[in-house]
Amino acid sequence: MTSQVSSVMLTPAGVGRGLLAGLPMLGSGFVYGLAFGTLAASAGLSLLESVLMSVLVFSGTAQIAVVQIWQSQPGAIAAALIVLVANIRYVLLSASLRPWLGDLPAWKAMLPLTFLVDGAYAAGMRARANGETDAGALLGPSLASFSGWVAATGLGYMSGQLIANPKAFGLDFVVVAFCAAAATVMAKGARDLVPALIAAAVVVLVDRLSPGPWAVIAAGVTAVLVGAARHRPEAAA
Amino acid sequence: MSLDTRTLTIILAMTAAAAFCRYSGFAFMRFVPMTPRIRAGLDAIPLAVMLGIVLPPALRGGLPEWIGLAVTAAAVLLRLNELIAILCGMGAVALVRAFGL
Repeated sequence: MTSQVSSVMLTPAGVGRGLLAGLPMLGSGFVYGLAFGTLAASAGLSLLESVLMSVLVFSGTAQIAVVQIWQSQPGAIAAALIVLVANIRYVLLSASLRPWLGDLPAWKAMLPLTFLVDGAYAAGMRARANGETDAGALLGPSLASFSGWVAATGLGYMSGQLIANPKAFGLDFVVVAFCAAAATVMAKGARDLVPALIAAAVVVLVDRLSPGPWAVIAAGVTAVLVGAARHRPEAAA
Repeated sequence: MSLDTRTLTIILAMTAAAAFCRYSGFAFMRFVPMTPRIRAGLDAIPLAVMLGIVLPPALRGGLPEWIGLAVTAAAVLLRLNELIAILCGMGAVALVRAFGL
């Protein structure tokens, strides 16, 4: 029995808690921001253009991919398609947030969605598995990541690589560690691990065939289908 | 400090694409009746997506990544503070890399 009385909210206190829990996201946003800022400068974007792109698009992989082909003068449609492919997993994440954020007023639900990133989603879902209902658990870590990302875009643009070798400090591992921690909590509390296990097998396979954004998408799609197919009404009672 | 029209058009197109990805799933589910079966499907997404993010770098990386994952998971299972668990994982990766493994 899940007694989900609609007590979902988005409060400053909740955002504060989320911000604190998601503090390492500031670091990961920063590292990606430095990489993007440096790259944008060498590709010939202006400082204003680089920072504006980071504020509005807020997608490290997609922006780096677009700026990497900047010399070949990509059109708006090509750039949009790159963003779409790199971020299509967010469609699944955002769908899976409906049961949680669906009871909020629309504008409040839009805030955590606007700043949705993997690490914040991981932190938020982990908090939720531990009983948190405040949507600040999603928005807080997002804001930590966003501030690091935007600030570092500017810094990276102006000064090149500040952290010479982020890998030496494990900084490239922050988002992965967030997701690993979240996965551990989720796996512990899951009623049925079969969808995730099948999805994991699909990830290994798809990643072999085509490294890139498809493995995550395949994982999500597999899980929805298997999870729905394995649902037994009596098991839920 | 400049902003040319071509670049601005590209940035706005990218913004629209990113916003579409972030809002559309949530918006679409408004029109799908939240039956227990659909809910069970949606609830299976987070763990699967987490694995989808965690596994590729581990598969492509090597020992440091696997040890980092094990340390992070162990720290969570030992009920350490989540922040500390993540920092332990990062530290483990950095340490193993420092030894050149």
